Amino acid sequence: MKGWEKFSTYLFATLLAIWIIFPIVWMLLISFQTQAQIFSKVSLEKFFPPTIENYLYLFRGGAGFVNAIINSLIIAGSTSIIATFIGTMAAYVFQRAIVRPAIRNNLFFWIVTQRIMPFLAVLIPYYVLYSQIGLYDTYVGMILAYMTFTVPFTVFVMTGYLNEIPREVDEAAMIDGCDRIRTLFKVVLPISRAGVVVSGLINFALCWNELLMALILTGNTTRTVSVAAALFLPSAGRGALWGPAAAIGIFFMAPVLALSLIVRRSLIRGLTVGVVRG
Amino acid sequence: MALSGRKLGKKLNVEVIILLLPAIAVLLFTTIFPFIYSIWIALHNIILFYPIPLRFVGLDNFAASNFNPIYGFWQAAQVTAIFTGVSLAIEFTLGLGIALLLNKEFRGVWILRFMLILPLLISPVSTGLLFRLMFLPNDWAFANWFLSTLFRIGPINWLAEPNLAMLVVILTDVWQWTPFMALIFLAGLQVLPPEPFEAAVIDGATPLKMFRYITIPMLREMFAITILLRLMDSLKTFDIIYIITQGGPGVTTQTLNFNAFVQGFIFGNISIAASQILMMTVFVILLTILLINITRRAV
Repeated sequence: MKGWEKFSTYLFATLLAIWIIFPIVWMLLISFQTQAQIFSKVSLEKFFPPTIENYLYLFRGGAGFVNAIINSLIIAGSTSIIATFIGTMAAYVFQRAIVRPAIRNNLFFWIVTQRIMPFLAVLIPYYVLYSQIGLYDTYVGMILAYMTFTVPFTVFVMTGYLNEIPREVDEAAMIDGCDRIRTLFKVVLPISRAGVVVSGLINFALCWNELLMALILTGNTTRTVSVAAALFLPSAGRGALWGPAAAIGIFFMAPVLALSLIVRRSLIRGLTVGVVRG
Repeated sequence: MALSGRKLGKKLNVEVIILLLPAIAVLLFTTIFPFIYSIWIALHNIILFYPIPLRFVGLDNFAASNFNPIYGFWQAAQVTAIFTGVSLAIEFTLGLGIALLLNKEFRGVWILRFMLILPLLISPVSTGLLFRLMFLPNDWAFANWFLSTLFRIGPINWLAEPNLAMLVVILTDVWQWTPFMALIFLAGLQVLPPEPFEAAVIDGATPLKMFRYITIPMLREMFAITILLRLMDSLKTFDIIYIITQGGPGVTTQTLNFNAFVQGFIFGNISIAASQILMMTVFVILLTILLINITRRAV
């Protein structure tokens, strides 16, 4: 690279890095500041000594946060397991083409429409139905609602993963006397363990992050972290609990960030699958 | 094989049903049922929190949404068009630029490729909080501190001014989703075959010409798919608006989706909301089909 080209490359690279990292760092800093430090001018005392008071505030029962975490774990965890199970079975049927092409194409069209459809299109009927049959503010209701996007997503990702396992594996298992179901669970799935784990994790992340459905379908007993986080700032209002608000933001993004960084490589594939043809 | 064809066929059917049944049940519950029930709700006069006698009102709700400005449908459609149009245009341009930058090999490029994925992993709720905290009206908040230190501009009340509030929401969306475009474009650039470029170099083409006449045509299909994916998600944006502006000031950052949420679940006009969402869904599906057809013809 020539001198000026090298210079501009590094200049833009640095700007890009700052642009991405800065908002996160800034919130991280606020989450470790006391109220007085947040409002003070930029100086050494603004950042030292850091305090964990804001995090303690959350866990000492501020904004019902501990309950919200438990709720989110229950809802996101069960949805992820059930959806991955259901979606993988369906993906296997599609990928191995054991149904007629017409059915296959229709079901794939469904998966695409799920992505197009605004959540409110299902939320309005769910809310009216749930409040009549008592599913409002229940775990079951939330898990059912989250199937809307997790199952199609699993089918989408797992079809890609199953594509990589040669059909000869199935055939060998079936000659040895396995039926389709046993072939899938005893032979095929153990080979594509990575795919199952990745779809499970992404499903968990999708549910953990989801706001709109939880906002409408949960009440006081099943409120999730996303709702607690979203309601915290407006309810804090001019009382200006910015420190705890930042702590919520950091705490809320941490688990998904950690999980995703562990499976980063597979994740990029999962996100871009079907768009890039290598 | 030892199994007779007929026996295999029969056995397969039972198994296929067992494997597919749960997914089909989910399909019925999450697509067919809500769609039909939405139409039913839109054709009646249901109001939440307030029992009134159920009445069939035909297309009244659709007419009211379209012609009565109280329900904010067209205002929200305008906001949606601006939000989606501007943020997608910025994300596309920046995304392509970043992809070209990171497609070069230089020291430390892997750190940037790695960092690029961070905004995608952060939930929109946290992203909303990030930008809300940066654009607070106080003088210590980053945006105001930065402007006052560099340009001596007094604290600005970002979220109280319609254009600035929209700017903050767009900026948030750009921060979160530009990396998505960049990652896909980068992946696309890296699988381009080298031969056309080698030939062009021999013919004495400039880098700019190579970009214009080789890179862009070869990536055109991928551009279309990526924009389509982002368009579908962008039209549904809710979380960041809810956290940053709550649709305000007034209704100036209320998108179609947000407006329907407010109409349905804040004001309780659930039938009106259902009619608006149905219109929006049909529009988005038509738009998607149109765009897919245009892409197919162009490529």
